[in-house]
Amino acid sequence: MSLLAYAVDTLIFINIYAILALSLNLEAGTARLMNFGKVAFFAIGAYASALLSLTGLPFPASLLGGAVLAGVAGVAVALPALRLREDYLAIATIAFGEIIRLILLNERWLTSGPVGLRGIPQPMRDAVQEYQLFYLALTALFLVGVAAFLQVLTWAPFGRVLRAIREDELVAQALGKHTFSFKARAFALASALAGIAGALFAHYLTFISPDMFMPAVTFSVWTMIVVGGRGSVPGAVAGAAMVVMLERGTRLLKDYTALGVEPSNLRMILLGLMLILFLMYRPQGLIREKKYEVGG
Amino acid sequence: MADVAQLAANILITGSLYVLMAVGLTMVYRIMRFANFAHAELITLGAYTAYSLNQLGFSIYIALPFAFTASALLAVSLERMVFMPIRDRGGDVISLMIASIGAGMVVRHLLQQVYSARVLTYNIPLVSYELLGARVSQTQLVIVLLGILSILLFHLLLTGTTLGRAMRATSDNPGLARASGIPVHRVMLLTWVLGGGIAGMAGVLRAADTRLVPTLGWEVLLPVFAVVLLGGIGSFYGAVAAAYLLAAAENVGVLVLSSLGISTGYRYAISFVILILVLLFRPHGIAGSRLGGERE
Amino acid sequence: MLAGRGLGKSFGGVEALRDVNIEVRRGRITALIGPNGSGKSTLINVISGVYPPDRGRVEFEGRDITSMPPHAVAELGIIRTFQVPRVFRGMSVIENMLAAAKGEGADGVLSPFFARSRVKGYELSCLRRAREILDFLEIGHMRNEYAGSLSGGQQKLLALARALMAEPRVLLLDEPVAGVAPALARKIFEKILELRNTIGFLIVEHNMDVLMDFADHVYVLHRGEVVAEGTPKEVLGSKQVLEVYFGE
Ligand SMILES: Nc1ncnc2c1ncn2[C@@H]1O[C@H](COP(=O)(O)OP(=O)(O)OP(=O)(O)O)[C@@H](O)[C@H]1O
Ligand SMILES: [Mg+2]
Repeated sequence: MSLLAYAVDTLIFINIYAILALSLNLEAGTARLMNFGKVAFFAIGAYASALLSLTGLPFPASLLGGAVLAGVAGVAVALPALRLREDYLAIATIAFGEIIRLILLNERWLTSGPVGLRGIPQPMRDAVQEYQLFYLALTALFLVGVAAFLQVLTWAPFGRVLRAIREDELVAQALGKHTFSFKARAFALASALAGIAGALFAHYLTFISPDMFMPAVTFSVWTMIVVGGRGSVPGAVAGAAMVVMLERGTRLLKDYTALGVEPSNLRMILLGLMLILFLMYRPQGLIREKKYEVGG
Repeated sequence: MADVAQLAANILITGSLYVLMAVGLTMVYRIMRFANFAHAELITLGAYTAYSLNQLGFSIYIALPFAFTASALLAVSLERMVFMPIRDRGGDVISLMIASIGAGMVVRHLLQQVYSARVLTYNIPLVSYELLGARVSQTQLVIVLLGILSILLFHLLLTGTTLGRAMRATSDNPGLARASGIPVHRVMLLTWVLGGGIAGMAGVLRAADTRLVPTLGWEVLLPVFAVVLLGGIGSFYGAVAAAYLLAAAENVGVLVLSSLGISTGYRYAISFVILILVLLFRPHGIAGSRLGGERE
Repeated sequence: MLAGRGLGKSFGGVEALRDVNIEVRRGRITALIGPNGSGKSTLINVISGVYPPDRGRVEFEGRDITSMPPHAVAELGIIRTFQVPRVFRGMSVIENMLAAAKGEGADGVLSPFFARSRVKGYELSCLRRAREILDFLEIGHMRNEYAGSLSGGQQKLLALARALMAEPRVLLLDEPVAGVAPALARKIFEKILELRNTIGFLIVEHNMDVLMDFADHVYVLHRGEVVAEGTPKEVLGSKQVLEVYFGE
């Protein structure tokens, strides 16, 4: 891959992961919903959109299908699970994520099992010459749209209630907020957004398999929002950029230096260290959540 | 008949391993009040420690105390270098939980860097016995014996020693325990030592019974959480009962799956589903004890 | 308007409430007193739906609201505060206030996009009201600070302000002015006096002077039971109350 192609490829991944990070940030940063199974909704969006487009559906329809299906899965998880205490929710969602992965592995008639789906159609493939650049623009468009949408929503009354729930759910209830409804809507919306990220991922790679949807994905997205700053929309984007570039950086290191460390190991070690060090020394992250203020 | 005997033996083996792996997690969860995901790596580190000694020609049984020591040391270091500082800076259980994920990532990939991701096996004599119609390997016999021995020792520790009583008092109410002169801090450290050490030994036995990979502990973490939650957080006797119960459910479940013509690839899903069901319907476990009321 | 009838609640072995009958009416200020652990906070928790009672009923304007979830109780206009002020620490003071306002259809996921002007109008009117209340409680100058950085007394004031922001029809206040400067505390009670014809009040308060000057009806709780009730004059000098507070 040429250097330019590599840079564009990196940017595309940043856009896709930023959408995923934004969706986790709505749940875990703005509200306090410990979703440790984020990857499941990413996977559902990816597989649904891929399968739909393999049946001949055009890209916008399959992407929408992926988003809707991921959102529906979000509702299905939210209805029973959002009553749970935060640590239980974390454990339950991680188990849900693993169950989804087992389904992808075992329902061969649908997902082709471990070998995964190949030849996923790309939108406008034949109509565009510089396809990578086109896809960069496409993902950038989605990222800008999602980020703008969430920035407005986060600072609108809906987002304010989510923050109140994060700070003290019982008090929010005592002030008349049907907190379950707010949490469920946030979870469903975030799941649908993760589905969009999954669809963009699948159609970019044209190939997906269950081992791309390991729990590690969830935790690198968690690193993105912890590093970026939980609750902050620009923070989630910045965190995604940092984590993706870190991953690319460790891969490049291997090509240019004799480091003696497997890049995938180095990357995970650094991600883990980043998580710990930020929680220790800068729990608010690089870009602290905005404080709502009013003038004189 | 032989089938039933084999089934019973398998349940005993799986269950005993679960007991050993769950004791530490349940104690730490209760006393430190957060779900320690790095418990997985305490298990894994023990297994690799034994591998190194085994390579030097030592039997894995001689290696057991060393595995205990290595994992106990890791547990104490994590407490001292990661969890304590975060707690001191006002981090909540969520921060601790995320930090434990980060710590687990670091340790797992350090191990993978040192030992590679290859599947390793110990040098152990492949001796097996016929017992009442069940075929059981030497390792499996040791697993069951050690499991039962540790249940007895733990029972004696909890009921017959000052340390045991202090541990119970601390887990019931740390504030009250401190007020009544119990060195809560030392009790917490000892909890890490014991819990981590036993997990390390369990790792050796699990690796001897199956194979050794860097994800050894991570693969069993969710079933172990299922044991802890089903047993009721902090309840040793609950964990023992839950361990054998889950083992029975898994071993019987596999038979049911294959008789129903469902892919046995779903055998891992059994414990995940049980885990989710427990969280939804019996979040305080079969023992029904609660983790502190939500007092004002 | 709001009444508890035969309320009972136990925690394990502790009987925190036993056959408690209590009534809150508009037009009078009802006070609740009793020594530590006598069940005052538990009573508020039971009325506001935080804990379901083991026995008895809670009625509001003739409706049985026993065991309704807290948010549903609050939506009826029964707003409570907590003894320990539980402010939204990581949010600014002004945002604490806005978060307490009724949603009025502006708090949907799509409302900031499809009902922009309505949301804008809603925010403006909430802001105006919030600043009025904050100014009255003399914490207007702190509006842009994180609520967690306020002093204990200021947090109590914010909790009260937030409760007012929720457009209450009944206020259940658990020691609303603990840690608040005496002059301001009196000013707050004077305001409460003004409001009592539109809002029902149940107030846990220990200060005898304040009770004498402002309360219309006092309930005395002891070990979960109402041992005396009546006007402050009748109750505060009575034998039962002296016994409760100073032993037999
Ligand atoms: N959630 C709970 N779990 C267990 N016991 C409780 C709980 N809440 C209250 N109690 C007990 O119920 C009794 C009444 O407590 P409550 O908090 O209602 O008293 P109070 O009158 O508000 O006291 P104070 O003046 O100290 O605020 C006490 O014995 C208390 O320990
Ligand atoms: Mg009280």
